[in-house]
Amino acid sequence: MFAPPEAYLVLSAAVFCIGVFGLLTRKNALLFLMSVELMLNAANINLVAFSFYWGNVTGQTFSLFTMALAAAEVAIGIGIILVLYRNFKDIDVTEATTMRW
Amino acid sequence: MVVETIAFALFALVTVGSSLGVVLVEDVWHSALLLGAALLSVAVHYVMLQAEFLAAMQILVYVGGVLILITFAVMLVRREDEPEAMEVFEA
Amino acid sequence: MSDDPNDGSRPRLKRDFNPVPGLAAVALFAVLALVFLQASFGEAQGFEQGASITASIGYAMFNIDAGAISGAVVSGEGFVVAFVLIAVALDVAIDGAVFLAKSEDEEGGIGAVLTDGGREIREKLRGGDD
Repeated sequence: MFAPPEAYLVLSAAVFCIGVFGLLTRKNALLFLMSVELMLNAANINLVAFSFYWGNVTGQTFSLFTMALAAAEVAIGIGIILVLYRNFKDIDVTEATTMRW
Repeated sequence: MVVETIAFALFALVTVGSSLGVVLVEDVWHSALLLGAALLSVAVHYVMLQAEFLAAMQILVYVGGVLILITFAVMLVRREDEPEAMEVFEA
Repeated sequence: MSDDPNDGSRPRLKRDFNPVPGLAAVALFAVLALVFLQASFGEAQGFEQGASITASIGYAMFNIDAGAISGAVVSGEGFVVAFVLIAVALDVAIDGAVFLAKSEDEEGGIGAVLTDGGREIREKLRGGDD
């Protein structure tokens, strides 16, 4: 291990809080998607670090599943953003306040 | 041991710095590029934790798949008030 | 570097942030870092010498009994149920993406114009082929 577990925990907490910061302060839907990616990556860093810490392969396997879910989430998110752009001519999430029916 | 700690600190700095860049930069396209840098440095962290297979998967799935999808979306949803949006029709 | 603020290629920082939610995120990080740095961890165990981690991931993912395999294997839990659940979730994601892509296509809005590379709007503007 290149650093004590505390260092990996603080690193992933930093990346996660940057993701939360992006979600709370930005209005662009694409930035939302990227912030969610950052938060998922923070979780993956923790899983892999503790997989090494315990000498057990469970954490690495679980983070593989997390990656698959992140890819699916981005595919859906891109579809939603394109529909949002088609209907509102913008991807500002504070603009989309009306529904069709 | 000292070299390893320095390597971890260096790449942790790259990860945190480019992640901060993702949320702080004005242009969405610059955010996408910085997100690519952050994902690649996370892959480096995986290699340092002896998870080489996960590092390969990180680069293949995130940089090769997710980032390309985000790039498509950035190109498709350029806003009309941005100056680049009208260059297509003037060319 | 020109001083023109509209020269385009230089990255610029966004400045008009709402400060309250940003401070909330920073406070969250402060609490997390405080807790993590006060926790005590022992020495890391590390993986078994000579074991193939990639092969071990494969054995763990499909519930293959590690005792039946020759050579060193890193232990882990079985994940085959999670594997099937993720497979179903990916199927649902594909269906959702297809549904989002084909809904309201017949309207011919700006999205339909832009997804053909701007060809339709260019023909409308210039009235000819190029």
